[in-house]
Amino acid sequence: MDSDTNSIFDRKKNRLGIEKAMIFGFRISTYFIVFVFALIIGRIVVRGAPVLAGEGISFLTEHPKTLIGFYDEYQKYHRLTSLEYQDYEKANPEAVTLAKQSANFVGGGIGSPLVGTIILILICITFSMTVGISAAVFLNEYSKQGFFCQLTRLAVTSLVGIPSIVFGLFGLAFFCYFFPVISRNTPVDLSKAWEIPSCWYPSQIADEGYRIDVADHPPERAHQKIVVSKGEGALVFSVFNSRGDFVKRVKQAEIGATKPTWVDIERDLATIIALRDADGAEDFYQNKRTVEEENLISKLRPLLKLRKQLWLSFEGWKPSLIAAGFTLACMVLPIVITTCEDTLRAVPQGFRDASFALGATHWQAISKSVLPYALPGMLISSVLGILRVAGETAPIMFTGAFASGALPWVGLKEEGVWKIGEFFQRECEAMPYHIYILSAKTPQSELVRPMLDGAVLVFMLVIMAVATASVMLRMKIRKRMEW
Amino acid sequence: MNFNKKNGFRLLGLGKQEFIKYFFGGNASLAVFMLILICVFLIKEGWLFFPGHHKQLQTYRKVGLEYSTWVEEAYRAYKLGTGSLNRAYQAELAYPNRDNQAKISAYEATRMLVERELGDSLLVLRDAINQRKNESDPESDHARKLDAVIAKLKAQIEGERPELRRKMNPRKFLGIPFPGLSQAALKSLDLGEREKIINAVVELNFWEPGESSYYKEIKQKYDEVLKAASVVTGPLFNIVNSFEVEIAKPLEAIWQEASVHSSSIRDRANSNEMVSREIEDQISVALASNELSVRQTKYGAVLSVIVGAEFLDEYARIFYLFRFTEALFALKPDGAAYDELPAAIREKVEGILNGITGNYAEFVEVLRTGGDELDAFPKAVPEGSMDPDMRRMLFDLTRIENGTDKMIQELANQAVNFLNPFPFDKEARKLYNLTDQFNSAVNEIKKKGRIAMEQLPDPGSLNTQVARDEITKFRIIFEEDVKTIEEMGKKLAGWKFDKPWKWSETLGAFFLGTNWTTNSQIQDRYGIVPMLTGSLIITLIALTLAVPIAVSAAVYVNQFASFEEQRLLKPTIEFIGAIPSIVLGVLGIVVVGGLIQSASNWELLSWLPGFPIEARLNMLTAGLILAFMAIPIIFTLAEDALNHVPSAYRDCAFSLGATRFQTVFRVILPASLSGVIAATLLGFGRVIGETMVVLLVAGNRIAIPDFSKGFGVITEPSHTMTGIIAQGLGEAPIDSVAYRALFMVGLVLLLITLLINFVSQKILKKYYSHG
Repeated sequence: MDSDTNSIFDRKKNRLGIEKAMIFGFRISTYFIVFVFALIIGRIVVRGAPVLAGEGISFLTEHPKTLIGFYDEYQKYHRLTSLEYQDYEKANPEAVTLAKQSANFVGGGIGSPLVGTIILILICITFSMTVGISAAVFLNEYSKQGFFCQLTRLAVTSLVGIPSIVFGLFGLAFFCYFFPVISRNTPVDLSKAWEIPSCWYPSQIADEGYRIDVADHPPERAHQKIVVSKGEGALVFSVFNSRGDFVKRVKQAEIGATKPTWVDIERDLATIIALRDADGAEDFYQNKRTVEEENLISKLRPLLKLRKQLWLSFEGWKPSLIAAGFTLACMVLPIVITTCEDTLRAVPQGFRDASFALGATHWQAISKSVLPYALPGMLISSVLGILRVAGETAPIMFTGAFASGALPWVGLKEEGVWKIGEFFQRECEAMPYHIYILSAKTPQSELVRPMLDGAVLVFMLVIMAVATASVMLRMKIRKRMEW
Repeated sequence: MNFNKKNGFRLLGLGKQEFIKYFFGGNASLAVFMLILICVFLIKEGWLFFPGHHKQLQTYRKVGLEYSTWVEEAYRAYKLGTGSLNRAYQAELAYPNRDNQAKISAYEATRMLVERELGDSLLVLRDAINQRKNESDPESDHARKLDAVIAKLKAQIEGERPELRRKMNPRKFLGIPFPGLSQAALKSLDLGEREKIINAVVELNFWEPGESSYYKEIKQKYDEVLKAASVVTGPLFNIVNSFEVEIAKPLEAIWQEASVHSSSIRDRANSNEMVSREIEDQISVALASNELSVRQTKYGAVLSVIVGAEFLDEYARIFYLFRFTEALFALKPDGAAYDELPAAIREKVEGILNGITGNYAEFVEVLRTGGDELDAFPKAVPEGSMDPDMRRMLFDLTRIENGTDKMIQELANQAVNFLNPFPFDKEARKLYNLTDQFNSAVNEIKKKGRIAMEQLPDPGSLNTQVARDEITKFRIIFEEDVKTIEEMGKKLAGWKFDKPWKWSETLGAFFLGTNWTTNSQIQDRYGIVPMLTGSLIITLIALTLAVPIAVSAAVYVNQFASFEEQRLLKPTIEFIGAIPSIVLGVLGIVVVGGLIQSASNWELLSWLPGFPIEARLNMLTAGLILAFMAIPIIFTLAEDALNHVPSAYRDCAFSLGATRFQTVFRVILPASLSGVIAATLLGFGRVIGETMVVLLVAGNRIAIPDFSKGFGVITEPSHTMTGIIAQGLGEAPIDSVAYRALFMVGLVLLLITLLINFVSQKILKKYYSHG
């Protein structure tokens, strides 16, 4: 190297000018980002605020409705929901409607999407917090730096980078079409289902309906199956082939059944041995039974009592609230684990050492000297992390989001405990999906625009509030936790 | 605090402490477990794609769709060349008429502009006029109302004329970017001409397009000149014609014939298969019913309820018989099982086989009387001696007990048709014959093509640059086309309908396939290449834009900004990462797409590659939005990396007399380079996995972008891996080949992101261990 001029740090006069210009360039590119951000927020607010101001609180409480837009003879533009339009037509039968358009889910408000999103978030929080906090406690407090710990950390960092759509695919394959479910209804695909022995659960749970049981079936007959059910107020015989595909359904005379309860015969009808009684089904058959049959029934009745109708099947939850919630939970889990670990790490080692010095067990040290200080921070930061991921559309697109204008608990058919199960197996509307549905329609049209702008603004407001709260709380906690 | 160590809690031999530990440990291992589950489930759903698609492809070959695809490929290659010739001809033809053409397009563009200006009132007027036309009773209340509306709207629009004319000011008009009108066309008109057009549009009844007399006038002139020009360009026309009509027609005819033929084979074969599947289903019903009818006497009423009249209908029995004969056929080629049959049964079986093909009466007789003897069949053919399904079916069918002569005779008749395997070989023969036709067509192309090539005008004698370029291009392309066509001819000659499809070809069809078609009338294809290129190009656009901005912002915030600035800028930029992608996607579709498209019409920017942009939604728009999304990620990580550079480096540089800038660029940035690279890689992972923005904004056209445009390729619409999953999954039936193909795409995506993540983690680890 030449000793006179330092080739790395040469200082020429005109260089300083260039440097200033370049630093200015850097500043520009930094503020450019902020400027674009401000533009975006500005546009969302400018377009959305009039909608919110115009519709008022009803925009948040009403559910999406079909909207019809048209001009009347005085060139006044009307935006009416389909019900209102019917009234309008009735009121003026000679009315002139010009340039009429209609679109689904663009009227009313965003009540049901908001509610759906909240339910999804609650499911997601319940699952991911339990698992995430425990995992963080283990990684930070229990595990030694070893293979398992490293493997877990690798898994967590890898999970963070996986695209949301892949989580969607996983949720579809795993939660919607594989996850084991216990159900009272006969699974469609019996090859993936097992009957749960009745001694494992109290009889009240599945003590409904009646069944025709089958025994003594030769293996040659194992490929056919007739399912007898009581539906639509009648006995229904459904025939399935060896692959479990539905072939044929035969409806029998009305027998006055009240509830559509599926009852089944599995495998074959080689020997029908009994009919179990419920809802007058026995009466229906009583006078038609042969003596031989009556004997069989009386002999086998004690055995039959053991057989009830709870199924464990691997047919999944189908696209539903709970499947979507769990898919989101899988997605946020790595985030929860990392944030919780950071919070735990911030608790000084001295706290633990002091506990151990007093003779505390490991768990006592954690529960009395670590968790009380870390838990608020863990809860807040992970809840905020979860809320941010709740804005994702791709993972819930197939696993549970569904364009609808109704709340998920309206019109449940089951009763008792099963109502909860049915509720969770409903599909629901969620905010990001609602926005997606709207933007996939013609978003330029006057009909769709107000709803879209309003929904985007509300959604952004929520997200912004969450993010701001997240930043502020993090600062506050950091300050408080400075030991 | 009372730390009581002794407690009696034990479960599964574990104390309370261990139990708690394992509970937490179990939850921690869930992360690992989940990663494995994700991989397992994508593979589980995805891997069956290959066998499924393999079978599909085999079928496509069998029915000759592969053959027709090759002919099509030859035809398309040929059309590619003649297309260029045609463009040359059109350019030459339009040359004397370019003024009129510019006028027409200026007129149309102006009209569209006026329509946009008038907006809904024009829409309402048109609807009103339309409704009035359809009104049956002109005296009705409704009709009168409509008349009033029309009159009012017309008056209103008339009233807006001065305003419109003011807005359409020719001088101002020039500055308005308008997608329908090229700047070149507009420029070619002088100001007076432009004013005339604008007047014509504004003055006349522009709501009924083409009514303007000015438009009629230029259109007429246009047609006249066109006619006159065609006389001049006659020789070129003859050549184009000879290529287009004389040579292309036979090739097209062969393609049409091949594709129609092979599609029809596929449909027939499919329906055959469907019926046989239906047979199998119905057999289940029939067997149940037969079984039930046997026991009906025993169980009386209960069974009669279950059996139901429908179970015993004739339909079911028909298929029962079909299956029976099918089983027997299946039995016969299986020598071992057939020989093991006791002689008496074999005689019956032979009788039945003969009966089906020949004497129906005998067949009927055997069916009627053979029941008891055939009962011995299950014992004669022990389990495992033949295909279990067949064995079971045969066992079931030997139990047949009822049926009328006439019905069975009819059935046997139909059964023969059904049981003969589909005559793929016979059908393929027609395609083999086509190969000769194809070859003679190829010879014709070569012969006529050479003659026509000699007649091609010298590029120097042509008027337009387009024509000159295209003619030159054609000379090159034509040789390539002939080569492609000959190659296809060779492929066609070697085509065998029953050649087994290779597994490597199936893998190639997915990983190297350039076409993705589902629910197609012809054949379904699953080639990932268009999606992969789309994803990669969009990601590259986004990163090229995002990395410099984000890194320089990180450098600025970390090194040059004041403390207050830092405190404000950092959370703001990080905050961008919290904007949900769907919101940005909506902005892209509503605002950015149109904005960029109109900006691309500005003359100022016309030097940029790919400008002006044809499609509103394209890769560039998607790339811009994704760049904005990637900025916070790259910024945060790069800033973090800069923070990690030990302050001693900085102090050292300063003490050596370096300026701040030199310190940053020569010392700090190089020291944090691996961190910045890792940040870029993570940004890559984030962008390539983004779904909603590309689904809404990228244009969703499944084709490999046209790279001949050079950098202009970025303005083409495209599809992406994430987009195709999001779009296709809703439509694909569960467990179908299309559904599994999407899981395969997901698997590819997962592997890409995992790899990127792994590499960037490695880089970061190395970097931080040094720092």
